Amino acid sequence: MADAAPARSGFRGGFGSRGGRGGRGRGRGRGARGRGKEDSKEWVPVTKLGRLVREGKIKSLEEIYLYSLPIKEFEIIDFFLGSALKDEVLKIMPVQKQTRAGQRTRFKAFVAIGDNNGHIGLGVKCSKEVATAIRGAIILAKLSVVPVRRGYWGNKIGKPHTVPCKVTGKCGSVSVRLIPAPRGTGIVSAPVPKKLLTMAGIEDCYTSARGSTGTLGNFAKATYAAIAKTYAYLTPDLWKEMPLGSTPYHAYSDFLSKPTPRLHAEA
Amino acid sequence: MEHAVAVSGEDSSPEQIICSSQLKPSNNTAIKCLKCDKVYIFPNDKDDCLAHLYLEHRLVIADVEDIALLEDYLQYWEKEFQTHEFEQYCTTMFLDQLPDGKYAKNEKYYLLCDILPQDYELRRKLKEKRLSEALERHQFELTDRNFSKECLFCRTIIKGLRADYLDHLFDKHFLLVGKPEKLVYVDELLDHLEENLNRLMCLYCEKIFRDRPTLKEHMRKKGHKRINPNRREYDKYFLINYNGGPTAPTPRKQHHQKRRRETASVSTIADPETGSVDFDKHFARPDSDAEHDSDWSDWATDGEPSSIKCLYCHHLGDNFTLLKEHMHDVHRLDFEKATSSLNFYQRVKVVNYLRRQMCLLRCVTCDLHFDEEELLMEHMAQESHYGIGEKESWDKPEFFFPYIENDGLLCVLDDSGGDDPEVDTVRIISEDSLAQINKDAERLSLENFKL
Repeated sequence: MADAAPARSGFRGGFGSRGGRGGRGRGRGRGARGRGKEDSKEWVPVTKLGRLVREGKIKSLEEIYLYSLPIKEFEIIDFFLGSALKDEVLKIMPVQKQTRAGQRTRFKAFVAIGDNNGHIGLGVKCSKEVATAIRGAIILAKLSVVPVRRGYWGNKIGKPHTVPCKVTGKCGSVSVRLIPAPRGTGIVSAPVPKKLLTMAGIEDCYTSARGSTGTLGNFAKATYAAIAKTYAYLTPDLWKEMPLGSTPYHAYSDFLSKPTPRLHAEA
Repeated sequence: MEHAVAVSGEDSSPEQIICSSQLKPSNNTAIKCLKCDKVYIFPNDKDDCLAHLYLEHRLVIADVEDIALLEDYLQYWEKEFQTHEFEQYCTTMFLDQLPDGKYAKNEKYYLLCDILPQDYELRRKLKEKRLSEALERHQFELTDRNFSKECLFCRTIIKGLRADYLDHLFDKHFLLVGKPEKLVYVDELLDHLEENLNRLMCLYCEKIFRDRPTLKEHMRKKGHKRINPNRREYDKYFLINYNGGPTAPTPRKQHHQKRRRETASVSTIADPETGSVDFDKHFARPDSDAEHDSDWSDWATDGEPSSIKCLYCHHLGDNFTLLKEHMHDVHRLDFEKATSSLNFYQRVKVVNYLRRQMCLLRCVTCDLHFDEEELLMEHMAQESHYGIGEKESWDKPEFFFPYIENDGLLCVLDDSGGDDPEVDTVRIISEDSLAQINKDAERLSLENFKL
């Protein structure tokens, strides 16, 4: 079994020349597969926030949300949420464009991502190959992850299980309203928002949808907008005055001004 | 084929089994010849059928290998040719020989090709159909967790996603079949590989060996732990081949036609009036549809929309408005009026209460029990007991919970009613904020508060 590994690499060169419609699909997987597993540790951040996260100066994703800092690198989300994050491909559909040489088909992947405990994201990506579209959509979904605020219906026992207040999200002609529900109700909605609400970590919720809910894309986006609004809604318990903290950029400015040492090839 | 269905039969609900056999491209279908009554069983008799068409009826189908679903194609044309003649649809050619090669003068032959717009459309639609079938199956395979198969090499049974199985083959045995995102009809592919291994045939060079250990040694030493890329029969397992992009069969004739149509509307020479060439129109990169990339509104169900069951009978309404109309016409109940003074939670309770009453065959107003549905309906119609019942009956906490699963009616209830939110208000408490301020700020705080 150990011999097989070095023997493999010798053939990589031969593959490229063969081409052909079938060969392409099979060959490409190989080299990338083996390397992909090592890449995940080699993140070199390119934004200030990325550098702070990598060095562990930021303790949680919530700190980033508190200051509304834009997240431009998906590895930041991976760093904090990592394995808890589960992605789900909602739909892959072919989109066609008429060109002079016939029709060009590309694949569009719709992906939802969540950790079933307070974070949800949505992404869409179009590409010539299904795998590329899925991968791109997952990255965009990670970049769009937002926190979800949950609350209690009635008594404050156990963990929060429903939305804290009635929230509405709108996209296109579809508007989705999320309404708090008592414990044990489950999620009362159409399949698409149900998936999103489960991934967000909401256990009980009523929904009310208006507009052309046949446009599932807009339906999903409207639900996402509604879920994101839970933290945007100012409830009385947030009225308390909090001192103005300094943003991480300011607090760690001396760390950021130092150039990062080049990462050596470590063992 | 039967074997394959049995393996994936772990997903035991009947609709899934039907699904997997329908989507497999290699079903046995009986196709009748286009003109006479001979029947052929596809896919085995495909060549016989095409040969028969040529020899007996002098009909040739252009680019027959590129047609997506040949069975559907032939069935369509068989219907057409029942009422029309060959000449109406096919191009007629004159050749100087008989089908069996003997010399003759000016023999008529018919060519069925996609220069005919009907045929072109048909081929395109079949391609789309095949692609969407493959994508559906692909999506199912990506998410289905009921897959279970014994590994091809070791004796472990891998359960879960097909991706897990393929990963195992790669990690433990260095056999790369392909990336799970790029493969479709994985069950069939794995069975195919299993068959080859059982026949002691190397997957790559396809030589036969004496026994299993020799085969394993050979594959390991020569690095033959992959599929032969030259074998066309593996093509159908790779999603990229369903694309049919620029290399798609658009014959040159079509190309000319398109060219002519395009130049008529858009002239590539400089505009005589202003002397300028419209750069964007002619030279814009084909990838400039970036805004379509992030457009979510593309995704729409073209299947039947989910329908809502009426509260009293079995009628299904396509949407809430139609359903309300139905209830008004047939059951003389104005849902809007009856629930106008209720807030959202009360409406939910009403719906669940009515569902329960109908399920238990009890009248909604007087709670009389009936043995049959017709008797109940008659009673309610006669006594005008269609309604939402008394408040005491439905205003109970047990009706917060949906009585029927996936009750579409609960998802479209209007939230606007209910003027006094004070009555029946339930105290809703929000979760504590999870944000943490950094330590410096905390020290500066005037009060000590818990976050």
